[in-house]
Amino acid sequence: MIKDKILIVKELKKLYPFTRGLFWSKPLYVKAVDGISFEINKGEIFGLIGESGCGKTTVGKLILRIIDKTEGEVLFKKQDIFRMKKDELRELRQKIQMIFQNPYEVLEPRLTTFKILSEPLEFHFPTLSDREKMERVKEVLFSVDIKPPESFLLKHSFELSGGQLQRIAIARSLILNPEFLVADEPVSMLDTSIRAGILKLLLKLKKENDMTYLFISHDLAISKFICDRLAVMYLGKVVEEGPSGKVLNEPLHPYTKALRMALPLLDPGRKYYLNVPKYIRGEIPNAINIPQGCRFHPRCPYSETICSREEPKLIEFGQNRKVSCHLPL
Amino acid sequence: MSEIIKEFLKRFKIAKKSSKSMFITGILLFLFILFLYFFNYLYGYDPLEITNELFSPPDLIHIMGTDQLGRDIFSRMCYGIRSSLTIAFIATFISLIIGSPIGAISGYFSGKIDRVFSIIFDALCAFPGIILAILISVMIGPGLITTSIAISVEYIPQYFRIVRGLTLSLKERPFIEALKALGSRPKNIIFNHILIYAIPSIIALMMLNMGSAILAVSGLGFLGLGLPPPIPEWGTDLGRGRDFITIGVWWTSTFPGLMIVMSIVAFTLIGEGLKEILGNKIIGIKD
Amino acid sequence: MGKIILDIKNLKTYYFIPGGIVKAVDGISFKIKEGEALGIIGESGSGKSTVGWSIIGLLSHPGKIVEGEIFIEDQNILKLDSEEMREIRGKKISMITQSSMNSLNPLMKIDYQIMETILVNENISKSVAIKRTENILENVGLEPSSFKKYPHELSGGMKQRAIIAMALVCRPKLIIADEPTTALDVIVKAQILKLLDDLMDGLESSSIIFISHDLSTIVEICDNIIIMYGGKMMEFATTSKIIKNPLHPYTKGLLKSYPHIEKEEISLESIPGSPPNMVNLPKGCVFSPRCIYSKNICFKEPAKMTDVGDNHLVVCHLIQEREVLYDKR
Repeated sequence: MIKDKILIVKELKKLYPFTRGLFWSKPLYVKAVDGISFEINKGEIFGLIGESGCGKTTVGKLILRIIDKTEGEVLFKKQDIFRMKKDELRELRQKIQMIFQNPYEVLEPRLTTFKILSEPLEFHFPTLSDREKMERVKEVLFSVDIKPPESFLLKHSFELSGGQLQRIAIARSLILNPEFLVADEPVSMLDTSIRAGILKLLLKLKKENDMTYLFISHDLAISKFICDRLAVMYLGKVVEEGPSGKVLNEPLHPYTKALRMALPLLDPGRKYYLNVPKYIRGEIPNAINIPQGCRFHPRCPYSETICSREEPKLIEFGQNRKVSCHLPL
Repeated sequence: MSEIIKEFLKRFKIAKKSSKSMFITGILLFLFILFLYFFNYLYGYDPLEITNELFSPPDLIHIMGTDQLGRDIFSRMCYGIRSSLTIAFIATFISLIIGSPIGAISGYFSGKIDRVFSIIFDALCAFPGIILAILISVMIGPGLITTSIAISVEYIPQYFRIVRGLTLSLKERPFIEALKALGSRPKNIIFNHILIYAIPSIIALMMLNMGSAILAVSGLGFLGLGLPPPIPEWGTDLGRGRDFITIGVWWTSTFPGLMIVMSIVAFTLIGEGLKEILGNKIIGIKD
Repeated sequence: MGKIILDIKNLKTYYFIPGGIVKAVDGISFKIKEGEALGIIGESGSGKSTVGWSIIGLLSHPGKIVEGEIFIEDQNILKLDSEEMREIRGKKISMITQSSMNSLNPLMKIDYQIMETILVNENISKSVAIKRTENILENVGLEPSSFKKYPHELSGGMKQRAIIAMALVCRPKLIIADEPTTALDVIVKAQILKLLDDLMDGLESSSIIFISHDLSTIVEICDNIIIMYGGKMMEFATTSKIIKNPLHPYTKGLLKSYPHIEKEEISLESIPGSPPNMVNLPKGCVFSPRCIYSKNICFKEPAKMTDVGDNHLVVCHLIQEREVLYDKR
C-alpha cells in the first residue's frame, strides 16, 4: 500500500548571512538548515529530533512559511508552498498549523481567551456570525479538555497555568481544522507531571481530526513515546532517519548513539554520565564554522580519513532506514 | 485597551512619589489654564475691543493692564490659550498620525523600506526644529493649519523612532509569530497587535511635544510669522509688546511670557511624569 | 565522615507581594553530611529554588525568612549580619545557578575573574592565587588556551565550567547547584555532571545540594532526595528508595510521568490538575486537590512527617495512618 505523502521536503536550506569586519571581506553564513530532505506520510507522526542549534525549529518555521527559504522545496500535497501566491497561501494557513514551545508567551496577556480563539476565525471566515464563532470556540475548547468552556472565555493568560495555556494554544491551532500540525517542543516548558496529559491530548486530537504531525523535540524519550518515525538532525542536516524504536534502540549513526547514551534513566547509582564523555568529545560547533567533510567527524570516536574529507550523503540502509555516515554502526 | 488602562493605574500606584506629584501638578496646572480660558470666555472683556485706555498698567479693572490699542491684556492672554493649545495639539497630532504608522511599517517589514525611511527621518533630525518651522512657515504662509504643519515636521521623526523601536522589539515575539502562522495579515498585526502597545509611550511623547510646540508657536508669533493679527496669540503679543519696554510698559511683554512659561511647564510636567510612571517596560506585555 | 555540614530546622520563607503572602517555603527541615549529594526535586511553585536562596542569604525582595534556623557547621547563619554572611559566601557556601553563565563579567578574562574570587576571600599572595586558578580551570576541563578568553568567546558548556570553577575555587563546604545543567544540551549536560561527580570525589568533604525540576538528571548523581510540593516537603529518602519504593502519592505520580525509553511499550501518566496557587494554598494537605488517594482528612488538615523506618520520611495522612497505598498500575 503506497502511503500518501502529505509533506515532502527537498534539499531545504536556510542560511543567514552576516558580515564580519570590513565590507569587502567574504560574507559568512549561519547555516541554520543546510540541505534537509525528508517525507512525511499522511496520518503519521514524524519526529525531528536534535539538540539546540541543530536547525529543527527553523525547519518547522520554514514549513509554516513564516520565514523565507534560501534554497530547496517544500511540497504540501504536491504543491510547492514557496511558489504559492497570496490567496493560495491563505488557504494553506488553514491546513498547516503550529504549536509553539512557550505557552506563556504565545498568547497575548491583554486579550481574553475568546478574543484569542476567535481571531483566526475572523481572518479566514469574516462572514461568520457572533453566535457561530462562539459555538466553534466552545467546541474547540471542549475538544482540548478545557471544561466547562464558558468559564474560560473571559480569562486572560496570566490567570491560567502552563498546562491550560498550552491547551488553549492547541485549541487555537485547531480552530481552522488543519490537516497538518507542526508541534515545536510542545511540552518542554511544562512541568513534567503534566506533560503526559498534553501528549495524550495530541494523540487523541490526531485521531479525532485525522491529522498528520511533525513533532520537533530534543527529548528522545518523549519522541519515542509519540513518534512513529523520526529523523535526527545535527548542525543543519539529517544524520539518521527511520522508525523511532529502531533509530533510538539500534542507532546507525554515532551521534544518535551518543544522544542515546546521554539519556538519564531513573536508575540510581548508574552514573550514565560517566560513559558519555568517553564516547564523544567536545561540544556542538557554531553553525558558521562547520567542519569539513562529515560535520560530526571531530567529535566522532570512529572517524577516519574519509570522514574529514568527504561529506556523507543520506542513503538508504536496511528497512525504511536512512543514514548519513561513511561507517554506519 | 482596558488592560492597558488597568496596567497604567497599577504602575501609577507603585510609582515614585516625585513622579506622581510631577504628573498631578502638571494636570492641575493644565486644568487651571483651562479654567482661566473658560472663566474669561464667560466673564471677561472682549480681547479685540479697542478702547481709549492705552497702556493702562495692571489694576483692579484690567488685571493685566491694556496694550497699545487699549485692549485688555488678560482677556487676550486667555484667548491666546485657545490659539496656542489648538495649534500645538494639531501639530502634535499630525506628527503622530504620520510618524507612528510609518515607524511601525518600517520596523515590521525592515529591509529597503526601513532603510529609506530611517535615512529620511534621520536627515530631518539634523535640522534644528525651529529653523525648520520658520522655513516651512515662510513657504506656506500663516494660518491655523499651515502653522501647525510647519511645527509638526520637527516631531515626526520622534514618533517614527519610538514606534519603530517598539515594533522591532515585538515582532520576533512568540505571539506575533503565532499570528503569522495563523494567517493574519500584516496590517492586522501591526495595528491591532503592535501599535496598540505604543499608545502609552505615544501619549507621553505627545505631552512633551505639546510643550515644545507651544514654544514653537510663540516663537513663530514673536517673529511675526504666526497667526495674523488681530488674533490674540502670546508670541505675537510678546513680540509687539517688546517695543514698549523702553517707555516703561512692562506688562505687554511680561504677561505673554508668563503664559508661555506656565503652559510649557504644565505639559512638560505631565509628559515627564508620565514617562517616569510608565517606566521602560512595554505596558501589557510581561518580559 | 558523618559530620553534619548543614542542618535546617523548620525553614519558612515567605514573599510579601501586593496580592498576598506567597508561602514559598513553609516548614522545611533536613540535614546534610559531609561529602553527601542531596537532590531537591520540585516543579513550579514548589519552593525549591527559594530554599537555595535562603541558605546562601541572597533572597530577593520581597522575600523574607520568617522562621527557622540554618546551621552551617553548628553556626546559625541566620543570626549573622550582612558583613559576616558575605564572609561565608564563596568560602563556606557557594552557588551555581542556571543563568550563572550570564553573570560572568563580560569585560574580564575568566582567569582574572577566578583569581579575583580567590583574592577577595582568602589572604594569599597573587602568585599562589594564579597557580590555584590555573589548577582549578584545568580540573574543570578547560584547556589552557581558554584561560585568557572573555566570556563571550566561550561556548555554553565552557562558561558553565568556568562558573563551577569560580564556585569551587575556595573549597566551600557546601555547594548549592540550582538547575546547573538545564540550559545545556544533553551531551554537555552529561559532561558537566561527570565533572561535578569527579569534583565531589576530589574535594573530599564538600557537600552539594542539587536543585532541579528534572528527576532523571538528579537520580544518578545524588545520594538522597527531597521531594517538594507547594512549599512543603512530601518525601525524603535515599535515591534508591525513592525510585524503588516511593510512598508519597506525589512521588509516585512524578515517577509515572517520566517516559522509560527502554521499555517496549511506554506508559506515561499525568498528575491531574495544575500547580497550586501559592497565594491561596488549599486547606489541609497542599497536594490533596490533585491526589488520587485523597480522603476527607487530607482536605482538612496538613499531614505530619512520618518516619517509616531507616530515615525514610513521608508527609502523608495515609502513610500516617499506616494504610497501604495500592498501586493502580
